[in-house]
Amino acid sequence: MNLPASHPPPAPRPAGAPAAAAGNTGKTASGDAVIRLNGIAKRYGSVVALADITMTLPPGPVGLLGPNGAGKTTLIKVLLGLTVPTAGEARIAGMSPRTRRERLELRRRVGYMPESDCLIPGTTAIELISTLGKLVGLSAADAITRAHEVLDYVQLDEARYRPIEGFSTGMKQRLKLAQALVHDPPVLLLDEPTNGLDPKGRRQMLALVEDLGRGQGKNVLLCSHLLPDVERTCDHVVVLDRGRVALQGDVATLTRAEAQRVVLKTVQDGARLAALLGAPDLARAGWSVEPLGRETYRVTLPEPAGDQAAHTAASGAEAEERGAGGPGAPRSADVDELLGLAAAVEVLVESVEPVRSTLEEVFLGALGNGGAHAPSAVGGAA
Amino acid sequence: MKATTHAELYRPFKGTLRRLPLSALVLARSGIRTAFRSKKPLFLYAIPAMQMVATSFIVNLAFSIKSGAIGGDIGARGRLVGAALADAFTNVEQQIVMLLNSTQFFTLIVLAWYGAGLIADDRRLKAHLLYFSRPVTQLGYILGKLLVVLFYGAMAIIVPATMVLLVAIFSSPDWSFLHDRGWKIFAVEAYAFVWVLVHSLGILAISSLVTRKNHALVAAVGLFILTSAIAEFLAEVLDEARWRMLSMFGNFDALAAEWLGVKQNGATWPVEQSYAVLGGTLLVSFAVLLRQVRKMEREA
Repeated sequence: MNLPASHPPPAPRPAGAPAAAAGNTGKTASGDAVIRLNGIAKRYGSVVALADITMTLPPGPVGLLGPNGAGKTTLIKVLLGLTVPTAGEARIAGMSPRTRRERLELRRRVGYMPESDCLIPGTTAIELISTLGKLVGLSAADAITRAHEVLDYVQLDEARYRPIEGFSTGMKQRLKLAQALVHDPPVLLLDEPTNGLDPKGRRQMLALVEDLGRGQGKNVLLCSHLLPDVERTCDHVVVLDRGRVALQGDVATLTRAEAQRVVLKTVQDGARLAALLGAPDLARAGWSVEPLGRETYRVTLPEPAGDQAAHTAASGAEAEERGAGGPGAPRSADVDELLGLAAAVEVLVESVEPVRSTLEEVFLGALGNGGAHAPSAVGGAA
Repeated sequence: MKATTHAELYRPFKGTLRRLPLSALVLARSGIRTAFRSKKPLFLYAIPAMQMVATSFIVNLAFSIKSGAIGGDIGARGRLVGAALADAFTNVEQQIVMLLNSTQFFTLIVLAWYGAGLIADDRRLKAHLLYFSRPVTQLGYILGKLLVVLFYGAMAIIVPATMVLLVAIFSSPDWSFLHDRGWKIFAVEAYAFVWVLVHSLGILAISSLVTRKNHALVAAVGLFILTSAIAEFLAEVLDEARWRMLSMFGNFDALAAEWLGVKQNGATWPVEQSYAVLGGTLLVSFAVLLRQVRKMEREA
């Protein structure tokens, strides 16, 4: 089963930009925020599952990351009103799952894909999806039409009349996604959608999640412990650790280029340049070098002098200074100086690339802080 | 292999979502259809079906003799015997109670078979997550599951009783059964319904306590059969008929005597006590169900 040609890689939406205007957009009564949590805490006896979580999640695809036991699934259940928080209030799509009426109304606006293998054997895919559609309020005719449409979308069209006990793990995962989509909800809560999938199945699932979040304008909350999944499909990320928000921000910002570090590749004789950069006078100026491999070095550029940094920032020329590297990228002048030093020792430079943090480094860094709240880029984690 | 022109596009839903007052009906319909896929347990209906045919035949024959439609050439003595038999067999309520008593063990197995896995399987597979993440209330969920068991129970108890009643209505001369004992039709239907309801709710409550269908099946059959056996044993050994109140079957004997006028072996206690036992069983079963389903939703 090939990934359909109809799923071109969608263009990443700028962080914080509103969702695309598809049938059900993420517009909510409470403005742009799709999910607001205010002092949410959940305890199971002496075990603290969630501890005083206050945050606001923007529309669009958001990744909820964390190691096992971090509280991700508990948070999703609090949002659905399946679990009553010990303290605090959660609002999703402008509604709070506190009262029974609001809880039921909220569940009409949210699609939930559970982590567990929750499919009932003995039914066919089309029956299951249409029944679940009817339970949300679709008429019988709409339910069957929608069931066909979503099964088409998740590429289970050929298996729609087969009993689901014969489905592979990948098919079951896509069926679970289809049931979450059947009523076309503006908010999707996906709990570990790539669990147990082989690489091909994982690619297919991620393509669907990416399309839903970026192409269809769904407000996806993707709960996962797999960083590459979140990095690929989400614009915004929240890292939970031991029930607390360890980090929150835009993926682009969190993984932005580091201002003072570059990876330098030389054609040959790179050692000469490394020796020069390691010389005491340059080291005193702030230069340092670290070999990474054959003809590859990580070079730390000197920090700009205080008055110079102030000048560039004040004049608004910082972005221009940093050239095409974008926010956080090294300044052109520093790179030029590095190239000048290379020319001085007659070393041919192949490339100079800014060092970018991977989400994994950011994640591990956040967890390394012992759950301390890192400054958030958007929304402001408490 | 798909054609390259085949394109799976996401199509937004343009319609509106209705407020669904009875999501239980959707759940019930789905549950009945799913359970019906398994054809093997349908053979359990063979016993009630055969009993129904036999009872219907006897009732029809009795009314025919009574009306003189048959047996006119068997002589005076034969007519006397025929009339005596006809009197006995045209007591339709008694025929129906006998029919239900003779098939109640199979009916119990039918109920247990279809009901045991309804909640236990949901708990094991966490399928209730799919329901409770939708606007399905706890009561709606319970009612949906209960309707499935009631449906299959009705097929084994209420349908045969109704068929025999219909045969009696159409066989009786000048609709005499309808005129003279019409109210008994409601009493019989109510009796059959209460029988199915008490057992169905009990089986569902057991199903909600375990996570395996087989465990629920054994527990349900064991509970009803064992309590009957123990009640009968104690009643015989201690020579005290009231011990039969421990058994659901004993209490239904008392109910049959009160509602249908069919006296049966040993139901000598006041019917109010049986009302209390049956009502208590219903209440306890419902309380267990509600508690378990609440837990399922909260711990989903």
